[in-house]
Amino acid sequence: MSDWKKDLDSLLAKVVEDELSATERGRLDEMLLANPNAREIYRQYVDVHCSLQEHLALPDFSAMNQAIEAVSEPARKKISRPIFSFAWQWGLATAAVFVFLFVVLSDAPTPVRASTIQAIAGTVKVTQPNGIELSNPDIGTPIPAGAIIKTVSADAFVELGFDDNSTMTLSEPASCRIIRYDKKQRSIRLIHGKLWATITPQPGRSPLIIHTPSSKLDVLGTVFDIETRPLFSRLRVSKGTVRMTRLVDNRSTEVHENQEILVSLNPDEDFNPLTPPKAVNYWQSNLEGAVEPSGVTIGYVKQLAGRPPFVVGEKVLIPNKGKLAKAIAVINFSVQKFGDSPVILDSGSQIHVQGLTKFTQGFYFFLSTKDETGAFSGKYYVSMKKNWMKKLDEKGWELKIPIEKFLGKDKRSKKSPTGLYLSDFGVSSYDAKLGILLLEAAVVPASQFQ
Amino acid sequence: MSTNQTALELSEEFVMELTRAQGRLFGFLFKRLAKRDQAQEVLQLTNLVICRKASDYQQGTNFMAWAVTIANFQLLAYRKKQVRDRLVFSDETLELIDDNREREESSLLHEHLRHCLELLAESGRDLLAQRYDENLSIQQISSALDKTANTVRLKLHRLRVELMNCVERRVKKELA
Repeated sequence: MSDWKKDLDSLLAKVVEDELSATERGRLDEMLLANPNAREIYRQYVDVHCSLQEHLALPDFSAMNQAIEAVSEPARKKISRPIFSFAWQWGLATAAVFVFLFVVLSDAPTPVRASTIQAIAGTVKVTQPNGIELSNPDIGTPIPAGAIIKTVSADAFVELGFDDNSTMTLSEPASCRIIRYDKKQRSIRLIHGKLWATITPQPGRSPLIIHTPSSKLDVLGTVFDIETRPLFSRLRVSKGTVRMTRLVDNRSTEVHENQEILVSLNPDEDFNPLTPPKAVNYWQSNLEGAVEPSGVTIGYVKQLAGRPPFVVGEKVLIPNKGKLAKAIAVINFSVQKFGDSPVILDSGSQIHVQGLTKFTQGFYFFLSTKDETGAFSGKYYVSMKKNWMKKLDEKGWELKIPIEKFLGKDKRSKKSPTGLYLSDFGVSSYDAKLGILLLEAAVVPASQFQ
Repeated sequence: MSTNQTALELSEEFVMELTRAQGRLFGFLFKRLAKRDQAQEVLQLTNLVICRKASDYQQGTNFMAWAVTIANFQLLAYRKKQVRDRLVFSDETLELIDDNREREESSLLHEHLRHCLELLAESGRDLLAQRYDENLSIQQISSALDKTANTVRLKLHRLRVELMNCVERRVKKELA
């Protein structure tokens, strides 16, 4: 290979990763100015990179969002009404359909099955290794190795069953990739969100490896749940032992039954498992401070001068099985933060919510639960009723929802979440135009309000 | 929506066209700026102008060509405001890179790319999936695979080159 080609190769690899130094930028400019072949290769290479980005990556509409806000909302109060006109929603939704356009055109052979869907609720997307989305995934749908499974909406979860009788549940907006799951190798990548797993002991079989952006887990027979965010992963082991490795410094430790551990990308942070305190029957959201300690996993905390902090719902696109998708707004809280007591939902408890919007319809509230063994125990939801609402001031409201009003999202759920442990609390609106602004959420036992 | 808000009245078709164009507009700008944050910034300005000029667009005409013309004006205006040090390419190089071909070729490229992806080895597809589907950084991938960042960068580069050559072969075959 000629020298200029070698040099161009190294520069191209850096251009697409945004890693060019000032000197390298100059070299690339000189080379493309002087050499028509280098220009042609540059064009083709960047075309391939951008096409991969366009067709493999999740759509990024952030550049459009700014146009929406700048053009459609001139110098006014922004808090109470996230602006998202119908036409915009329609367009963005359509884009999601186009991003996965080759679904329809594909003639790819069926890849090897790695697992099967055992339970499903809400909006779940399964993208096969060749980029083709499975249409209408349902109970019994086989999932191939290499597929990416994504729970899109706040009410979504999907339970996957494997040939060794292990099960994994992806819950809250989350996504994972089954790298491989067969007799020789079991490997999963949790991209973001929460994964619950019950792994059947298989003597002589290689351990299940779970990769997250900040950690690696070696798992044999055990029950655990892991939540991963860009800067940290949190593991809770309910049964058995998991070996956890922190990627930033390759340190490993064993996490035993009823222990949890927080793994961050900062090597100076503590990396020791701890045993959480005993369960309590009350909980209150804490929005003071940064986002992570507040427990908000979807939505973002905002504070205006002279007002308490509040959470703004995040807009999420919901595909509609081949039809045009719609945008909804979602907020999700992780109830039991690292080191916190588990929260049990006692009979007669209420969920108290304070919000900041004048809309009174089109909201769902969600509870994600686990049972006493630590296994995922379903999602429960309730649609907001107007007569539950107590007006606090011009724009604010307060809701007190009896726990017994929440209904199971799938047939296997209990009649109500009473007696289960609360994992996540969520709110979602049918329509992003309505928006959601949350001031506070709490679980209040009967003894405190009777 | 309150009465004193002046929300845009854009037709659904227009918004769909613009949404569909996002990836290709970004590609057009990235190729000429070679910096992701700058391409994203100009894309935002472009979207704003496109929305404001929505009434100028005649439905049924070539939306992409119209949008690219606006993007090109925004690109040139943006470059004028930047000090030379912040830009990767000189005006002369930019002129040479600009070959005006992407509009027509883009959809063809995607079709060929889809076939070429299927021809890659599983390990290659896995790596591309980590980089693009999962949006992991080179550092994150290298940590997960227990390899150096350079090895991962080189492997990704080779995969892109392999795809590039495959697409080129398919285009040539089609033209033959």
